[in-house]
Amino acid sequence: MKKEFKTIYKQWPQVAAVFVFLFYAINRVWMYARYSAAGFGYDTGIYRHIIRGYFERLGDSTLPSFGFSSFSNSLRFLGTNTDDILFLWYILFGMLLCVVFYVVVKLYTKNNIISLIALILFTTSIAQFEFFWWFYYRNLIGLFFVLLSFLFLYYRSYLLVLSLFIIGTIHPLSLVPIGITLLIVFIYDKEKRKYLFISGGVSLLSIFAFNFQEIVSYISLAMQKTLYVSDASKQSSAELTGQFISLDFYIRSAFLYIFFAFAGLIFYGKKYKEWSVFLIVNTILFALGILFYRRFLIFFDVAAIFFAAIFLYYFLQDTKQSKLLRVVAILFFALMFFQSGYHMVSKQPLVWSHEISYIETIDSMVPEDAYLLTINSHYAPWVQGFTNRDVIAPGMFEYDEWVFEEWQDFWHGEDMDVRFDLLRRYDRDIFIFLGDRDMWYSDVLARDSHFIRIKDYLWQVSL
Amino acid sequence: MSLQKAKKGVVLAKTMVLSIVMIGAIGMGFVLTGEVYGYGTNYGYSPVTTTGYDYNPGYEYGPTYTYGKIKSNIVKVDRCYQSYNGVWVRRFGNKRYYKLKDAMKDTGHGLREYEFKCYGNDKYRVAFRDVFVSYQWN
Repeated sequence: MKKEFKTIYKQWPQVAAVFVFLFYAINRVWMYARYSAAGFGYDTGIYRHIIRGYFERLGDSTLPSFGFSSFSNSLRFLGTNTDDILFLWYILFGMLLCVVFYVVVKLYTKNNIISLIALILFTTSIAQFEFFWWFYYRNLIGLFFVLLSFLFLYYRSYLLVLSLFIIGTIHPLSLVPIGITLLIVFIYDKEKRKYLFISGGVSLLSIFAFNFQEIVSYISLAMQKTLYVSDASKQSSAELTGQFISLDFYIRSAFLYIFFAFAGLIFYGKKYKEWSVFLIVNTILFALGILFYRRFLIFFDVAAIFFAAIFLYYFLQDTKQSKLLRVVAILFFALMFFQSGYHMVSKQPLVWSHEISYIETIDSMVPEDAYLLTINSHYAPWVQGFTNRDVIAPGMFEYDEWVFEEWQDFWHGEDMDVRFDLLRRYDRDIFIFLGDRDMWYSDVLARDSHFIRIKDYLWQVSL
Repeated sequence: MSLQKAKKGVVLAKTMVLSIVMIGAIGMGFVLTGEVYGYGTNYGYSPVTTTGYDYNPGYEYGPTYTYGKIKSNIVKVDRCYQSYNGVWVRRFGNKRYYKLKDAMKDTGHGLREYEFKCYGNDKYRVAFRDVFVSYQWN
């Protein structure tokens, strides 16, 4: 018994890592366990629509090319249903992400305690929690394969071709920081030059061959909208930021480790050149405000955690000599868990579970050829994802035929005839969905008998 | 200065750095204020404070809120427990607790924003201000 205890004591960083991982697992499953399908962020409905739509219209050449559908369609062929791909596989990737990060840090640093510190930082990172919560499915898979690319790079394995190909196919944006990083490594590291030339070249050719249409659409978007988000119109700029947390939010949430990350970069950057380049590249991409720049914060955060963990390890070496420093260090890590835990339990969903239940009943009440109109762009993805009807939403999706000023008339105008004129532009029946946030609009609808109440949340237009 | 003293100084400096960073993190609003803990606190019923999020690519219809002056009342109850978004109270000898939730609502005095805080164990303070809703577009 004593011997076994000693063995466990010797392996305490690994044992602690298991407990940290348990916290991570709870942290990632929390919102789904609490609020079910309503528990995840804005993109949930969009992904549900995409997974279902691309499988149902398999072989339809009019569909825009979308690499993610190769992943979701394969799973559908294997018999997995839409909601399992949507939630089960997403959570699974979330778990694997943590494991692969731990493995990669251990591989590069060859130190169990640094890996443990990195795991703690990654687990308690609010930016990573938010990233997972917002349901950036493709980006999550992208990050997973970016980390795998670091692993293959370490071993100089040609599996790098495969991981880069998957990133470039499923989420081309994730290829930008890792691609630039590998290009820089290719320039300065003679030993890896041939390996990177072959891996990079083959993967790039494969990506273009397999996903040419989507890549071209990204390039054309950059040309149309201008590469820099600050030059885009106000409406476009919201979407083109990448719609992730702001720098202000990030600094506040990462305050406990962000300074140590830069200190780590300064003191130990030379030893871990690839990671230094990756951190600097992401910093520059974010600072330049390039298309979808906020998403680079996710990669930045991962690299920042890597360096913060290394710095903290050496910084806290003196805990053996000082009881006071030991206590403060324990409090420091405890604060991370507290901060993350508090953030998690305080988090509220964007929609409530009962609203999802309402939306799910709509198909049984609305004819197949009718439009479903939501007056609120906030609900649009859920309405699109959890019904099978064509959705009209303010400023979103393919069936919106009104400009912003016309939507203003529809929302707040005094003249009911203007509303009818707008609705008459559509040649099919229209039903209006109202979420909890939109209940004020039921007063508007109740004013005229052309709007027939079916439920509090569903109204039929009869012109 | 002896080597021992220098080492002690380094350890003390490290302790201070860690402490300052911790206090800084608390000061950033991540432990005490709860201001930035996720989007959606009271969503739909009171104006959401700046979240730092930019999540919605569509048009938004949201109104503009203008606020009146804050007023407050102290109300006596049998027992008051503070909650993160209001108070739980028991009064008039009843054993059941009910919740007074911080929210924007119309309780017969026009639209107001209400905030509840326990004031000792047997009182709560309700702070309220009139809210004027207008639809102005920029």
